[in-house]
Amino acid sequence: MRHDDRELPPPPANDRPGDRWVLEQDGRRRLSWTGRRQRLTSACLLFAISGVALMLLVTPATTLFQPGDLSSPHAQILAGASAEQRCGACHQSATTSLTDWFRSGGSGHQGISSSERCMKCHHTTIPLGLAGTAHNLPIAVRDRLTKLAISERGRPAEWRPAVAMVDQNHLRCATCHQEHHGPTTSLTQLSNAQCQACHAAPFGSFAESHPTWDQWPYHRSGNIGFDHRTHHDQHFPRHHPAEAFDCRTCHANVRDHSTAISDLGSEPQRSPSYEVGCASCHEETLRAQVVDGITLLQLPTLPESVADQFGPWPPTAIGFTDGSLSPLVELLIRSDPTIAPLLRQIPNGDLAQLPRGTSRSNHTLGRIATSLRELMDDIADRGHRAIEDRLTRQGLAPPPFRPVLQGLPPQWIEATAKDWFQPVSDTPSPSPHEADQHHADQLPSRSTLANSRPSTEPTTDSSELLPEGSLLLDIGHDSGVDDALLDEGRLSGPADPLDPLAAAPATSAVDKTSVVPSELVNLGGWYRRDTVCDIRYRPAGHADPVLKAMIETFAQLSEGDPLKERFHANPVVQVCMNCHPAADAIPARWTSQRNGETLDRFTVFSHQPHLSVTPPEQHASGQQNSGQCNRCHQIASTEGGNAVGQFAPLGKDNCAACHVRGAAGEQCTTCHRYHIR
Amino acid sequence: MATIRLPLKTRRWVGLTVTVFAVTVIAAITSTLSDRLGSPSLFTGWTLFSCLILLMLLGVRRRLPFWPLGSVSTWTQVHLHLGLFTAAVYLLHAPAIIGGGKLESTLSIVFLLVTVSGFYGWFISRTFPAQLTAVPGEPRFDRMNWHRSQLASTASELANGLPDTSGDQVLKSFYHESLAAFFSQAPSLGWVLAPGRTRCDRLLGDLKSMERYLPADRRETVEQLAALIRRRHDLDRQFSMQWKLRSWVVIHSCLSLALLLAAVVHVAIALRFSH
Repeated sequence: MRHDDRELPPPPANDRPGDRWVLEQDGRRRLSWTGRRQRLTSACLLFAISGVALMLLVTPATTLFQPGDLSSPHAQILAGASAEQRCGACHQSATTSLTDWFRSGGSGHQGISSSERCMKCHHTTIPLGLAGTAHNLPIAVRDRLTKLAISERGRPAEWRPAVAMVDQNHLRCATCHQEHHGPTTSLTQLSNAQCQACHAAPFGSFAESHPTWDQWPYHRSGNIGFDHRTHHDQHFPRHHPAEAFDCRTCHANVRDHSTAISDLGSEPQRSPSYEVGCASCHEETLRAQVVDGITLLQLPTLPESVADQFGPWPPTAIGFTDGSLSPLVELLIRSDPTIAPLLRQIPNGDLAQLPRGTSRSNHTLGRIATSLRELMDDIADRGHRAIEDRLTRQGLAPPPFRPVLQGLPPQWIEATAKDWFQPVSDTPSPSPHEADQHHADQLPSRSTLANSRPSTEPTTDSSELLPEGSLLLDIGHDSGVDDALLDEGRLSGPADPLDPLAAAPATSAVDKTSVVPSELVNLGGWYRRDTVCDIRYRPAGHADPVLKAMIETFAQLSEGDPLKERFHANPVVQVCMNCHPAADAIPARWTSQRNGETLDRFTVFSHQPHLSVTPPEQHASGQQNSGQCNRCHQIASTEGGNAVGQFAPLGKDNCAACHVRGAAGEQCTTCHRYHIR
Repeated sequence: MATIRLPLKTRRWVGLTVTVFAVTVIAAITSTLSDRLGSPSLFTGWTLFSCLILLMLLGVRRRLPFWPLGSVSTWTQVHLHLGLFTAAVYLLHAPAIIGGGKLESTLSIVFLLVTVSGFYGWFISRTFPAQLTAVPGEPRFDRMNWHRSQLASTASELANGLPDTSGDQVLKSFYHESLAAFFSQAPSLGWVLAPGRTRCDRLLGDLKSMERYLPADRRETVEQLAALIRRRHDLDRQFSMQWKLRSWVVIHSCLSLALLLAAVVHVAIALRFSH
């Protein structure tokens, strides 16, 4: 103590640390710091509880709980929704009240997960049954692929957990698609490590560990069967020797033909329309190939002993057993379960191959003849419904067949049956040509309705009956699709007796008896030939709706069905299927998909960035990218090219040159789409 | 069993190293969980919530001094480093420094306030003890008023005990005009928050300048009054530092309670909406 300090009395010792009260000098009681602190703490706690309770009760849930802004697509969809609907669109919990948290939501709410809410909208692109499985693959398929991957790349390192943290059989959408990270964050953006979280045998860098391929992208032939190699090597040089073969003529991109493909964005066009890309060379050939048409029904030639059992049978169809059942008519009559076993005994529907003269054969022929007669009578009586019923009984959907029926009047079938099965009179039979011409007059096909009736008024202009392609009638029987059909050598040949030009006189008038029935419907339509007792359809040309309907109907048959094989063996059908191999699919795919819209594939590719980037070797030499297609797509110069595309293999090295870290990148999601349909 | 007590500096380095290591481990686990399509936010969320509970246990431990659960000093060290660790985990957990919804933003702000108050407490707990030791006297906070009144009454006795001579009248007048208010009133809140020597030095200067007008036998009284001014100033400095220390604890604990409450609601909602 300093000398000038005065001694002060010590404070009273009548309290202890922690006491809530202390006594002042004047004897009054005062709150100690401890007491004040306890009061303040209690008040703060009460204030906090009240504040939280007030927030929960008063503030709307959407403003109270907001773990982050939604992504742009979801935000746009839910922009007009109410607060409850906005959260409840994805969260079942948002549709329940606070009190529901502490009790069961009832059986109606049990098991409803957020993923199921996602599928309410996304079921159109993701199969519901496989939405929760990895890559939307069936478990058995995935297990098989896993074993394959392990056998190729080995097991993962021991330190790495073999089992993923997610159940690959019951994946939630939110496992990969993390919402509430704002409008600029992509919901589909995943790191390579996340992609490989489930992979038992993980990948390293793209160049070193990605599996090689040799057929991509040509193994997926597409919906249009186009032989690039023969067109490049043979047809185009022959018919356009002065022009260079330019891929962009057919595969235009926005820089070349902006008006043609404005709706395609910047992706090159997958294939041009028939009229633009094919018709100039193939139209005449195509018309020639389909001129014979396709048979709906043909009465077989029966032995007289058999024909006599069934009342009137056309005299022109009596003789040695002959004729075949067309796939179309067999499809219609085999709906009768009693005749189906008999049909299976006929090799390729060719009745001539049945043993001759046996009672068994005669019985079969008799049953078939009866069925054909019943079919025509059924159609005459019940019309189109009779045919639809026969298809339905075999499990086939009638709608694809309706374009066939729309041009086939039942009354014409009735008239045909009446003509064919009328009792034989004493009057002499007309000549075959006269008979065909007589009944062709009654043909109510589109062509006869559209054109003048040649039997009553002789045609003065042969061009009305003879299409431009009639010169090619002789090659119409050729089922091949080689464009060399147009070669001059093939066009010149011996005169065909059915060739109208060969039979036509030098004058402008055409003798009506010289016109074959198929030429009466030169614009396409139904016709019949009484000489051979058949009903046929002649397609109008490319994209004939009736022929398309037939193909789509037969596509519903199983792959092993001999009837389907026989139908596809028909030359006219082959003409279609050669260029439209995917027409046999369900649903039929007649046109090519646009680039970039093939959502069912595991890989995704955009041409545009590849056309605008300068390849490494050009970049090194200071050249700019020329946007040439053949940098990647090179026509195979040997016979060993790919089966469909006829291109040289486009291997992994082509991609790995640029797709490395630090250049074009090697993100899994750059080329791969997770959801496989 | 012998207890090994490390030097303070070593303990701090060990604590800091362990904290950095723990944060690294948590960051690695979070990254792995993210890469493995796990739920990193759930992991960091539970870690945060557990840390909050552990941090709150320090207050419990202080109220149970008789339990053999380690010294409060050790608990405080653990509390400090755990708080640092929690702040790092928060950065891993929260998508933004301040959340979007009202509850989340409130939770974020309260967490940040608790963190800032924690760092402030860390600062004053490192600096104030030395300053308190440097100030003479060790008055208890609850007895500050008693000491203050003692000083005031002593000063009053000194001033009122002077005779009524002309020289003493000057001293008396100075006491009543300036010193009486100084001794009788508690320091203002502004002075407590930002204490200074200005007032004390001004009073001492005035007293010193007055000394020449006083008779020689009154200089001792002046020195005693100056000593009382200095003691009152030291008492106020003690009051200021103790008040800050105690107020910080109250604010930190109140905010922590609010944080825990908001965190419980956040956990319930997160679990409710996580499936």
